[in-house]
Amino acid sequence: MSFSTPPLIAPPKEEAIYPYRRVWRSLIQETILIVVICGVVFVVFQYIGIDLPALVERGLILLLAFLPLILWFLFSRFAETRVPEPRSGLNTTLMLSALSAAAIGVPLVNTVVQPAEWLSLEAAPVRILGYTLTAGIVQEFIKFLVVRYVSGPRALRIRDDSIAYCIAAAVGYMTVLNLIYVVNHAATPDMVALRVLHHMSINVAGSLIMSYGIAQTWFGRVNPLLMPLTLLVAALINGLAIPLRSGFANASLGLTSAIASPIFSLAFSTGIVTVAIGLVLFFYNVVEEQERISRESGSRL
Amino acid sequence: MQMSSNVKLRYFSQVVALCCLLLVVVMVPGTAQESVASPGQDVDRLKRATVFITQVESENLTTTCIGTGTLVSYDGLILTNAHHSVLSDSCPGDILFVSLTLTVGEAPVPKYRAEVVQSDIGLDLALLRITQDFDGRILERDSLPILPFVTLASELSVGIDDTVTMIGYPDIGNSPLNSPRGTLTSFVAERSGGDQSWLKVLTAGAESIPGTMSGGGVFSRDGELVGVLTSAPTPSGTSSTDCAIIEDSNVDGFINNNDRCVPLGGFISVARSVEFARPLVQAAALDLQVTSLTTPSFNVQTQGTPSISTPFFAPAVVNNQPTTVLRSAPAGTDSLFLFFDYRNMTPETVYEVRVTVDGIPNEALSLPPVRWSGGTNGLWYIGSAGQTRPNGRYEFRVFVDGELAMDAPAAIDVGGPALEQPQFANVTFGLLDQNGNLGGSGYVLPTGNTATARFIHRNMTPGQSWTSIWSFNGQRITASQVTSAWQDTGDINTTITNLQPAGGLQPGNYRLELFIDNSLSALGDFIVAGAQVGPLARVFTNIEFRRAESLTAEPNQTPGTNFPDGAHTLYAYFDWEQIEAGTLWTVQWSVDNQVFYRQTAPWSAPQSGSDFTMQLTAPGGLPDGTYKLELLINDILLTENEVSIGIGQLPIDRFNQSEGVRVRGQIVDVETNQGIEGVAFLVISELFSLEDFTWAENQLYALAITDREGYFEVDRPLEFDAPYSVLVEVDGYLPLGVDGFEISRARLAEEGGNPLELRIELTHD
Amino acid sequence: MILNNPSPGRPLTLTQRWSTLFTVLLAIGMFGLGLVLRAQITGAVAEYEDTRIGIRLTYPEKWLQDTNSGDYVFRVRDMTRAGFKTTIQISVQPVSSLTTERNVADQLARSRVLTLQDYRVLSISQSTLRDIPIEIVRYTYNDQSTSPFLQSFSTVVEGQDILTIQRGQAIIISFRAAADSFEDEYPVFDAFLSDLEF
Repeated sequence: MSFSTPPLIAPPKEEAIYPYRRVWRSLIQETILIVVICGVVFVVFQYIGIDLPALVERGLILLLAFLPLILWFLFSRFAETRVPEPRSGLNTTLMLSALSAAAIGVPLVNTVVQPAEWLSLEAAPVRILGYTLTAGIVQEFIKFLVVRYVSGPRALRIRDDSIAYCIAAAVGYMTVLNLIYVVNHAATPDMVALRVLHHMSINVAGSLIMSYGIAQTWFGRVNPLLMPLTLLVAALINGLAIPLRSGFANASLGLTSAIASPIFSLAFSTGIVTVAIGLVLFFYNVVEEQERISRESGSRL
Repeated sequence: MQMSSNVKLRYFSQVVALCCLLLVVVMVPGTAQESVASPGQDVDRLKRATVFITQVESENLTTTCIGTGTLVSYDGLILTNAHHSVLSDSCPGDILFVSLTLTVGEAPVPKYRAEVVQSDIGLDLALLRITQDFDGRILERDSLPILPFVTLASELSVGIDDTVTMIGYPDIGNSPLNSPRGTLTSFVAERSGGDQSWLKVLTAGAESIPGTMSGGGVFSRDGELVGVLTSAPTPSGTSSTDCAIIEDSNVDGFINNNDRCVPLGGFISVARSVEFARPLVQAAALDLQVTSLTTPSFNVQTQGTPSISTPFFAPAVVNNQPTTVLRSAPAGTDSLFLFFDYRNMTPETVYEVRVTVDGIPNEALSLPPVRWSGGTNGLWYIGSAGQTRPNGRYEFRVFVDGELAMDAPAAIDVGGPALEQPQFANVTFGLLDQNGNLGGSGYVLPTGNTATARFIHRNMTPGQSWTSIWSFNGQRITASQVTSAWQDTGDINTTITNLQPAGGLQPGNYRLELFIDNSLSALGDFIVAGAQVGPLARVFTNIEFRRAESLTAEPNQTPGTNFPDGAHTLYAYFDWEQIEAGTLWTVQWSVDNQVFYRQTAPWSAPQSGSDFTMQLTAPGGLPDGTYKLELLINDILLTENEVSIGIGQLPIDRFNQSEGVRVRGQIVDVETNQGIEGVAFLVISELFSLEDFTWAENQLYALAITDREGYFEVDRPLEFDAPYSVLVEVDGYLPLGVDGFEISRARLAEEGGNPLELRIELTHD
Repeated sequence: MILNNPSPGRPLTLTQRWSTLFTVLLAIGMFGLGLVLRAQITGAVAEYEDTRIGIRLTYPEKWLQDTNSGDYVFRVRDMTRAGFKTTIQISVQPVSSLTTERNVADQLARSRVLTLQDYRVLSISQSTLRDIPIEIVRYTYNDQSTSPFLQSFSTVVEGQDILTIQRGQAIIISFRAAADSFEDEYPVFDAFLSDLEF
């Protein structure tokens, strides 16, 4: 009788199961898809010149307007249901942000302050300042209020929650902006795609920056001026992005024509959202790394 | 097999050749008529400056007359024919609607109302000014936009066989502009305007030019207006081709023969030279009005039916007089003029000359029905110079108001060798000095005892019978008839003859007729007027000017020749001596040497007198300039004087420029691709950059505002090679601006010529 | 690494409270600054003085100014405005010692009805402008595109004339704007009048 020694098998390593939805992954997926879809629509309609039936074109335009919302539902909201610790109140945040935008933000900017009417002919620095102090601050402040007083502080369990709720508020706000744009402008699909991308970029960028301030204020030991500072930066991002995007796309007057270059708008918006995601991700990583180091050093002591 | 291939090859090459030939045949006419663009001709501008004129009765707003006109100034002056625009029995309408070609290729659209500001019925020219909007609202000068217009050729710059473009409306306003290209086939000379009184034109395809194009322009290759298409409808021309019943003018519910027939005119083959229009345009542009304040003492209106008599031919014209009388002309004759006396003609009289050569109608030499421009009575000629005529028997028939006005056609044979026949020629008049030299102005003699005529004789043989007869006011002076045998004059080829009537020379019109063997060989007309000062006649004297503060104010007592503080109204006074009633005299006003008023009329004041008064005024006051008054008889300048007003020079009208780059285009929203209404397209003067622009209107060269579709048109043409700045600004959109908006002729040609089309996309935040 | 909020139900920390307060204050402050900036930009003026006629005034910056017409001595138009260009103009007319502001108003109405389409006087009232008696005439007419080659609808224009007689001449200060934006634009005219010296 013989027997062999059973092979030594290492016991399976216990994995730390992450109980929350990974917001960065969802955000990056949504962003990439929006950029790609808007880019494809722009190229197809701008350069290939496809001609769709009016009804189909209208449907496509509406689809583009709802694109951020649809992608958010697919990649964020539904994903939330598949994790052990789903975030609650995201729908409420989105809805309240959208309602606030429709009821307060957009009317206040477009009807009362009307920065486009009196800033369009001003010099670039004045335009940046003007949009920062009007459209930018209104938009970011409304989203902040929604997140601060509706979602948080009870919903904020981890830093990433701040991102999730701020992005939800951003999606609500940008969807309203998109809808108001497509309803009030008989724009072609390529231009709607650019506008959707623009709204997405400024809202995502602003909300990410604002989320960092909220997260740090809630989870870090920071100066109480950090959160207002991030609001200022978020408003400034809007103030920069709105005039610069149109400025890049604006035509230069020649002897026979002045043809605009909307492709620059596409590149600019993509750049803005990419840089914003990269920077804020970097900041989040830095502070989490700092906290890990300080915690580990604290435990050794 | 080999043979078969060759046959196929030959067959194939024949087919290819045939196809090529067909292609050439199909393409050539189109190329010749449409695509040969003259270098300086902006046909689009010419078309836009061409308007359709509808004369309408205000009572029931029915159309009375129609025609074409051409805008000749940016502020709405329209040059057209008088016969379809000036109120008359045949055109009794009192409202003139002006329709513009808003879109080339479409029928005209009524836009404005106009008024006649200058007219010459005989020359059949009228200047209209747009004064009201279509709805009757008064348009002030400032509220009228700068309209597209054409420039009058500075001198008649076209010659025979030159290409011209004729533009006008081919029917009663239903069709777009017709702009056939053609050639100038010949000039027709007339007593009233010299060798180039009429331009004979023929379209490239010899198509007929409809009568509704009358009043339209004839343009040179440079795009300058050289003539006005003219065809006066004859009073009796009521056939369906000459007029059209288009409205229920008697409001009986039917459109039938009881309704007014709108005269259309016959087919056009001539154009009135633009030289005649220049004074009218100048007067209308400056709003100048000349009025004679001296009450006429005699009625010089015509009585009786128009008639012509004594037709004869002459080879040349000197000072409106025939050089000699031709019985026949040698082969190679290139100048031939038909002379005849006329009586009781009026400016409304329509005359026509039909010419046959060997019995075959010759359109090139004929003159279609046109208005009479020669006054009441006198000696008239029509013909042409410098145009070689083929041999044959030429018969001229003159029609007056549609009726043949000659018992028999005036005929002359052209051909054969030049015959050395006895001949008198070149009759001139004057007074003999002590040395036997003839002095004077040639055709105006002073009152006195003697009138002397000098004439040239050729091939006279001693003993040959010749006769001279003098006439006074159309009546031969029987006592003056002298018939004698020719005496040898040796080497001298001139001779003289005298008139010494009993009681001296009375003021009036005189004529000397010279006969050889009872055949008329030469004649000459002259006028006796004024007192004798040496060999010259002192007819008009003491021209002086006085200014007045307003049209109704009394003129200053002190005359002057320089009014540095300007003048609203100017009065001119002159004295005169010994002018017979009915004597044709000419008054000519000019400013800065540009004639703006010239009128030849029968004298209607007493024979002698002082302070004949003329008034020169303008609604807004007389513009600064040097004004000259000239008084003439028989085209002989008898006296002149000038007066300086203000700075003594006409102000420069910076808008009066039709050449250059016409800019138009569309401003759209880049996102919706839809035009933006109400956007200002500012063209800043080349003297300022965008940085220097302080939003003062005097810094602007031109300004355009977009319409509801976003289209705009810069109303003033941009000068070539001038570095303008352009600014496009509207609330809600990002501004666009550029310095150095400079366009050269070459660049414009590269871009396809005028107008330069711009597409401007505006972006918003 | 999962960092749970250690006390999600706890009251806010002092830092969080101050942060929120500062954020709200900052937002309100910035928005206020935005409104100030707006007022500065829309209220920017340029100065004009004509000693010959005796007027000194300010008018909105970037309005196209013209003094080279026989119809008026001063005119500014808002050329950057889409549609009818809001206009302020001053004209003068000689008057006799017996002429009243009302006479001038009636004369203006008679002449304008010939040149302006559908000209209608809405009201005539008396008032004072810095203790100077004035006649205020409100009217309306249809403005049409001036170029015959372009296609535009008429714009209903509302206007207001302020008439006064000074130093032997009638001074007519006119404000015209598209009827649908007249009230919105009127503060510009108010500001113009408040700075006007004649």
